[in-house]
Amino acid sequence: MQKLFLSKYGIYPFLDSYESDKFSFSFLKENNSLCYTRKVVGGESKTFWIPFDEYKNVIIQPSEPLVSDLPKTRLYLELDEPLSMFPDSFLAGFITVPLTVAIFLENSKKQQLVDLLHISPIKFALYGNPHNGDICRYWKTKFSLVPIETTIFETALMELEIENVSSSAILVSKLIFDFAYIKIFYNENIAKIKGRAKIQSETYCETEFLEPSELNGFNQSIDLIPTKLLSSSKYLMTNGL
Amino acid sequence: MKFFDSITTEKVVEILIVLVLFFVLLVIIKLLSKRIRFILRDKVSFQTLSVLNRFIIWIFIILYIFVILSYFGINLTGLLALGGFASIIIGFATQKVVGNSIAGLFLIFERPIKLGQSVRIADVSGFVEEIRFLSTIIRSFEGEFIRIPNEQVFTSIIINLTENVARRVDYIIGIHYSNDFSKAREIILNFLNYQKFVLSAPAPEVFVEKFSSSSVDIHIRFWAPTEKWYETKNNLLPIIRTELENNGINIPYPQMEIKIHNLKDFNKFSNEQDS
Repeated sequence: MQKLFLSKYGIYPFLDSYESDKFSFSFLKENNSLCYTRKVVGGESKTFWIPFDEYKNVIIQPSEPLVSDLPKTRLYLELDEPLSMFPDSFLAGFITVPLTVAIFLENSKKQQLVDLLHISPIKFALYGNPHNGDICRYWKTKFSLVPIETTIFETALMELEIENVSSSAILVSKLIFDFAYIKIFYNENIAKIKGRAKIQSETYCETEFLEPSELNGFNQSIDLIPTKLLSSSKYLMTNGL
Repeated sequence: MKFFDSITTEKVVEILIVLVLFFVLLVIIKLLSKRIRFILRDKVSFQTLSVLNRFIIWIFIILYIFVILSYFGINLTGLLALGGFASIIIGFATQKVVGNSIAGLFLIFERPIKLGQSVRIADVSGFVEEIRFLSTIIRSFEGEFIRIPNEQVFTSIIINLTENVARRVDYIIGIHYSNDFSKAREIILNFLNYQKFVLSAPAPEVFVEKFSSSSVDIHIRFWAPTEKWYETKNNLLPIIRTELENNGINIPYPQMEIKIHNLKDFNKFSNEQDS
């Protein structure tokens, strides 16, 4: 049985088994099918069958923090310490966001998504009220003016720009983004994204994901959520910051 | 021959216009009806939409015939008087039916309930299977088929269990008087913090509900996404109990403390009972 140790994102040759500190998975060929088994340390195990093909590679990439049993696309980022934004001010810094590890099988024609692994803890939160609010994937992070260390397979580094265009000082303790429009870039060791928040008033803020800077040597992740061409990529926070 | 003589070219043209107008209006009505069916496709069942479609078309045809007959000078007074009399009789006979139909239309347009939602209407709980013209069909949680007249649905208090995106879960657990409440609170909050469907915001709450005869009753309150409310509510309570017991917090049985002031009398009484 051929086994490979994974410690980086990237493209690996198609083998029987793969293992990292946080997860392992294997493909066992039986007749015309592959039995896929995976285990996440401290998490769930899963086994299912997939059709056999002449697969050449396995792609391990960082993906949107989508949870399959509650597929919500909003991300609720709570800051460890709130940020005080003065009127007409701008602040740029870094935070972390949770990731999903996507496993793709690649043959000469196409890439096929096999599984999504959640290494970072999964929590949800309600933004707004129960009647017309949003259930969001929840993540608590610290804000830093310099890049924060991230954990491979768990978190991505997010460049965050906050602009307060209102005429009052505003305390920011949370930001909500729609990750259906996230653009994730990665190299072997790190995944990065960029987000912007434009505060219009104490109860109104526009957020969106942008393309991060300095992308030399970075690849863009394959989107799990099909891009909605006709809808807006911005999320409007109308229930406070 | 006289009949054919009375048909002039103008009359033929008029009849042709009436026929063409009828078909043009029919196409427009069908397109409108199709649009209505499209708008209501995920709110109303397919059967109800078909009935609605036929209803709209027949109403149009009847109205068109009346308009055209009066246009050609045919006296409709007798017909209308007969119709009026018939309407009174039919009106009395079908009072409830009409009430239910109108309520059905209001239900379709106001949409307090939608297909597939979990609801409680007039002591009936279950999933909305169908909203018909006259009645609403509920499949109870026990799998029963329940038909509620629309008038009753419309005038009852409707509790929609799945309309909101999140619902609260409440548990009350009693701990022994000798246990530390703060420790129990910390254990519960820590446990809830690791449960993926227990929402982080609004934050879970744990507080003393009351001092009961045998226990300190702790109220645990948290929110869960509506889709996961039922399984979360059902799964977590026994695990919280185990967590508490594993950490030395006891959940007591009902107890009664009896103080005997005069032991001699009590022993005498006991002996008498035994003999």
